Amino acid sequence: MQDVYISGVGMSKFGRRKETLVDLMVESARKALEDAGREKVDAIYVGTMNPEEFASESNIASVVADRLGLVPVPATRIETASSSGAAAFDEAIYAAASGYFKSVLAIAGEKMTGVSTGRASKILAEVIAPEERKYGATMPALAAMITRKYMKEYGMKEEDYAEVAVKNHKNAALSPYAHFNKEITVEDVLKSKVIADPLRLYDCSPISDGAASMVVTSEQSEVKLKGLGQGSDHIPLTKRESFTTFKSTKIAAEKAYKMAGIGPKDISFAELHDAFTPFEIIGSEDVGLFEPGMGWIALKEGITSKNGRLPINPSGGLKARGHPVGASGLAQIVEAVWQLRGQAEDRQLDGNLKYALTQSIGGLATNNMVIILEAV
Amino acid sequence: MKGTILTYTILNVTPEGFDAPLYLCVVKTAGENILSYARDADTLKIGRKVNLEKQGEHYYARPLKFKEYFKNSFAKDE
Repeated sequence: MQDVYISGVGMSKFGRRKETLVDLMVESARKALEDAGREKVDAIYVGTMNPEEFASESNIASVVADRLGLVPVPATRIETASSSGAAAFDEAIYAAASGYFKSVLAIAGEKMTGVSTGRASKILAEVIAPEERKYGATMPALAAMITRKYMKEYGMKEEDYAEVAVKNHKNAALSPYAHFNKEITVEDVLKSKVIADPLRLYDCSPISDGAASMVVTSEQSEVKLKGLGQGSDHIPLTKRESFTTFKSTKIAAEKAYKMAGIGPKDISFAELHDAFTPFEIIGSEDVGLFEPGMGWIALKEGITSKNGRLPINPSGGLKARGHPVGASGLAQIVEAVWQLRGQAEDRQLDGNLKYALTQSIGGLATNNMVIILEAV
Repeated sequence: MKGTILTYTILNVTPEGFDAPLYLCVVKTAGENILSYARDADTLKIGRKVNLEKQGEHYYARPLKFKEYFKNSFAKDE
């Protein structure tokens, strides 16, 4: 496998957008191509979870390639539920690393606000096992049961993980790309409506529109792919070995660290999948940044804040940057590139940033990716 | 079928076709973990011993009383 670099990145603003999914993908792709100084690429991979039901779009890879004026390059759709953006990145990396293609464009996006919240929730719940869906189980319900178990196991309280929402809203307030630019308090979180006890509205990421894109190439540039890994798990929650960790993340992280030849202590900052606020805490433990049961304590001590020793989700995370499901995995990597290049504007982290880690969750942690980038 | 509640939630925002609230729990049994309904919030406590009773396509978790739990345990041993 040859070395692969990220030579261009781009994003649309996340939030409630009037444009179509294809418009958003094209917007972010043009920015990435411009950033890379390219007009053409050898192939396109498009990550999106469910454009058919959310946005009545199909054959999307071909449509995007045509709109970008890139026909006749190969254009392929990639889907792994809510980690589709990271999966599109992985496929682009494999394609460039093999030497078959020299430059590849990864695009990821979702347009969710065109349907009602109830309809969006139903579409999202289709990733849940049918035997659990028949009880009315939703993604927040399953996330709530994981949270409840973690709280019992490690003594975490509601006001503790509310700090994830507070931190990530504070970070997002500095971002022109974020769905939310408003800071919130722990009291705001604890006053918000209970969706699935103990998870409240402000513990849940929003329904968003948005897209992110990236050009990967074998030609050297400022940010290099250092490691990546992917792991899957059983669909039913009831078949999991643990309710306080995600095995799929642990497997993905182990593979990524092995490929990178580094360990958790080398990571400068991370973008983690906080679709529900406790998931950031669990993710920080699963990728080895903290011992089991210590993630929420690190959060409380400010270690994961923007000015902390190990910042997590400087972008605002899924919670506050927004969560257009198919886009999020790639948006995390875009933020990591901006930070490593020193181009994150008001969000820029201090210090010598060498390695960034991103973690994306597909479904209820049934198809997860961990990616490590290096500033070179 | 006897079991122990591993974790639970009360779902207030339910999908189409389900009335709120839904009392949901994962119950550890001798053979497997099973998702089940409970009839009320009082049933829901991690570690609570319950009996799973099937009605139609769904299980319902009913709290076991202390004597009932041990009586059943003895019956199983016999």
